Amino acid sequence: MLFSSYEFMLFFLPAVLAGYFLLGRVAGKMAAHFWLVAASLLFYGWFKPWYLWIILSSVIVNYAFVWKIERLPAGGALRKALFALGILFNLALIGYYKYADFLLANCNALLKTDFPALHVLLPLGISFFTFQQISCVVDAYKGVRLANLGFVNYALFVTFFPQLVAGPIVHHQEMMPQFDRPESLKPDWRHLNCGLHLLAVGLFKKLVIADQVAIWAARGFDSPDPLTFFQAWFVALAYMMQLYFDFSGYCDMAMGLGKMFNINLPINFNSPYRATDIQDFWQRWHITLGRFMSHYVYFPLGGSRHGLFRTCLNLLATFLVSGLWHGAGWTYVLWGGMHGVALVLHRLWNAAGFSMHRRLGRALTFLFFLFSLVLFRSSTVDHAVRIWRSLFDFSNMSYETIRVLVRPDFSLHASILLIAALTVICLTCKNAVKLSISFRPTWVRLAETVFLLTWSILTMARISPFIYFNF
Amino acid sequence: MLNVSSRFAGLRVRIRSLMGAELHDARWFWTAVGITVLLLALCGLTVYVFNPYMRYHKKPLLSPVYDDEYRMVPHLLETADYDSLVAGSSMSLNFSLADVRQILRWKKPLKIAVRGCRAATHKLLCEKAFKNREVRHILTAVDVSILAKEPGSHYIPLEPWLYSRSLLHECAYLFNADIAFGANRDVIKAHLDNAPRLNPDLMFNTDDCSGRARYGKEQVLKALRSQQRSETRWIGEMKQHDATNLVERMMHNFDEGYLSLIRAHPETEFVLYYAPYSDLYWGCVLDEEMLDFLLDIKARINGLLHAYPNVKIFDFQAETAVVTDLSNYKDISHFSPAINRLILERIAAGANRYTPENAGATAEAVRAIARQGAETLRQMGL
Repeated sequence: MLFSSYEFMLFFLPAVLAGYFLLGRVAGKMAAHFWLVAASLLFYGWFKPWYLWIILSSVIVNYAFVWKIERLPAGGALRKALFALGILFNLALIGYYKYADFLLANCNALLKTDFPALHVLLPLGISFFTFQQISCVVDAYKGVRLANLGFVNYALFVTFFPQLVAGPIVHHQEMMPQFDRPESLKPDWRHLNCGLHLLAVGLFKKLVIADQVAIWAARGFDSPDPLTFFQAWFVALAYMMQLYFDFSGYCDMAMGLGKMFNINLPINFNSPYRATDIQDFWQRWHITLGRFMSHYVYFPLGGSRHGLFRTCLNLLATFLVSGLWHGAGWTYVLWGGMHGVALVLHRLWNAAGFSMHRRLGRALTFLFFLFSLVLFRSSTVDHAVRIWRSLFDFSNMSYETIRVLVRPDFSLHASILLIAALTVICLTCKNAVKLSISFRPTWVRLAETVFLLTWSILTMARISPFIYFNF
Repeated sequence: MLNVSSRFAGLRVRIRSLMGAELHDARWFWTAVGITVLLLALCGLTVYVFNPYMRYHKKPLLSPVYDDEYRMVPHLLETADYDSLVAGSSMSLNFSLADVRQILRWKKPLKIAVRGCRAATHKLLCEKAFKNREVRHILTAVDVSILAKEPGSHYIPLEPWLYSRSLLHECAYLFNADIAFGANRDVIKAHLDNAPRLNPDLMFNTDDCSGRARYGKEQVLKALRSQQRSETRWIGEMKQHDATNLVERMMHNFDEGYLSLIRAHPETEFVLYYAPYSDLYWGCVLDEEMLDFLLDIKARINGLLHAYPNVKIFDFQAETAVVTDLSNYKDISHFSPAINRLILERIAAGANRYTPENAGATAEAVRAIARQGAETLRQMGL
C-alpha cells in the first residue's frame, strides 16, 4: 500500500489510528502494539502477499539471533558464531533478492560463463528493514542493551508502517522507548495536528510536484536522441527536483504519520541543496542512511583514527558500499565512488587549511550533486556520458527545444518557471520538518493543510496524458 | 483619508490576528478533516452529477462530450442502451451511428471503436458488451498489421479504475481532479460552444467532432513525411527478427481477440471488414517487403473465418477508385467519413463480400495497388 493511495488515506489510516488508540485505552499496550504490527503487515502485504513470508521470516530469524546473542556471555565462541551467522543471514537475504542478477551478470562477463539471470522480484523496502535488523544484531553482540525486547515489540520496531518501505532507517534505541511510553497510547491532539500537516505537505510534494517533474525528467533521460544544451540542463534539474521532492516528501509523510501515533521518527532531509560543502551535504541528505553507514561501515573500518590516508580509503569504501546499497548496478557504485572521491578531496582541502566562500561552496556542491545524479539516473555509463556531453554542447542554444519535453500539459515558460521556482524554494525556504517544529494550530495552517490534502487526494489517480498518434 | 488608511490598518491587524489565532487542538484537527471530507464530497458530487464519462446513469445533467473513447466506452457499455456494436480501430471511428441505423437497419447501435484497437482491447470491450446486453450484430474492422502487437497489450495503458468497478475504483473516479475539473469543464465548454462533439451519432468521430481533420494529397504527404513510415517499418523489422514467431503471435492474437468471441456467440452476427488503406500504405508495405507476408496472414484469417456461419467478411482493400484517390485520406491509411458511409452502403448491398473464389483476384488487385503506390512514393522521393 502506498501512502499516496485512496486505500491508505481514506480507509487504512483512519481505521488503524482509531483502532490503535481504542485498543490502547481498553485493552492495553500489548494489544495496541499487536494491532499496529498486524496493520503494518497488511500494509506491506498489500503490495504482494508473498512479501509477507520474506519480512516475517526475516523478523523471526533476526529476533531469534538477537534474543540468543543477548543471553550468551560476552566473548564466547557461540556468541561470535551466532553474530557471524546473523550478519550472514541478512547479507544473504538482501544479496539474493537485490544483487543476485547483478552478481551473475558480472560473473558471466568476467569468467565468460553463461549463468541465466534469476529475475528475482525485489521485495519492497528490503534494504531498509534488513539494515535496521543488522544494526540490532550488531548492537546485541556489542552488548548494547535492547530495551524491552519482546517479540511483538521487536516486530513493531521493524515493521512499523510509516518507516517500513522507504525509511527513515531507525535505530531500536530511538524507537523502542517511545513505543513503551504509556502516553503514546493516548491521542495527543498536538501531535495529530502536526502529523496531519506534515502528511499533507509530504503528499503534495510527492503527488503534485515530484510526479509532474518526473514526467519531464523521464522524457529527457529516455529520449533516444541527443539532448540540446538547454534540454540537458532542464532534464538534470528536473530530476534533481524530482528526487528531492519525492524522497523528502515520502519522509515528511512518514514523520507525520509517526507523529500521529506519538512516535518521533528521525529527520532524513534537512534542506540538502543548501549544503555549503559535500560533507555538509551528506549531513543533510538521507541522514539516517549516512548515520547507519558511519556506525556500521565507516567506524568499524577505522573511521578517522588511523591517519589521513586510511581515513580517505575508509571514506571511499563507505561510499562505494552506499552506492551499491542504492541499487544493483555499476552506475550506482560509480555514483557512490564519485561522492567518496568528493569527500576525500574535501577532507584533503580542509587538511591543507584551505577554505571557500559559503556561497561558492553551496553552488559547487549543488552542481556536483546535479552532475552525479545524471549518472544515478542513467541506465548505463555511456548514457550518462551522453547527457554530460549535452550539458556542455553549445551547438544548439535554443531554449525552445525544451518545449518537446513538457508539452502538452505545460507551456514552455510555465515549465521553466516551475523548475526555477522549485530550485529557489530548495535553496532558500525552510523545510517542512523545521516548519513543523514551530507548528501552531492556526487558521492559516488549517487552510494550508486542507488545501494540500484535498489537492493531493484529488490527484492520486490521474488520467495519463496521452499524445495521440497524429493521424 | 487618514481615517480610511487607519481603518485598513485596523482591518489588516484584525485579519492577521484572526489568521494567527490558535484554535483548540481537537477543534483544529476535526475542522481540517471535516473541511477536507466536505471538499472531496463536493468534488465527487459534481463528478456524479455531470457524469462526463457516463459512468453512473444514462442521463447526466448535461449531455456528455463524446471525444475520449478510451474513457467513455467502458462506461457506455454499462449504461447505454444498445443491441449492436461498431467496434475495431480508428478505421471504425468515423462511422455515423445514424448511418448505421439507416443503412444497415440496426436498431440501437453503439460505437465502441478505439484508436489503435489491439486484439486484447477488442476482446475486453466486446466481452463487456456481451456481459451487459444482448448483442445481435457487431461491425468490426480487422487491421492485420495490429495483430503483430504484443499479446495482451493495449494501445495506451488502460486505467484499471476506469475499466473495473470496486469501492477503491469508485473513489479514484469520484475524487479525481482530472475528471472534476478537466472533463467537467470540457462538458460545460462544449455546451457553451454548442460543439458537434455533443452529437451521440458522431461519437468519437475524428473528423466532424474535432474539426481538425483535412483531407487530400498535401495532408497525406505531410503525415507520411513526419512519421507514418514508422508504422509499417516496425512490423518489417519484427519479421526480420523472427518471422515464424510473428506468424504465431498474429494468429494467436486473432484467435484471442476475434475468433474466441465468434465461437462463444454463435447467435451474434459478426460483420468483419478490411478497411481501404490508400495505395501509398500498400506501397510502404511493399517497400518493407511485407506485402506477401500480410496477404498470407489475411488469407489464413479468412480461411479460419469461413467455417463460421455467423461471420460475414467484406474486403475494401482492392477498391481501386477509393484507395488511389488521396483526396479521401488524411494520411496513408485514415479516410474520410464519406468512405465510412460508402462501406456501410456496400455492406448493406452485399457488395465487396469476401468469398474463397474471389480471394485470389482481390490479393492480386492489392499487389497491383501496392506496386502503383510504391511507384508513386519513388516519384515523390519518399
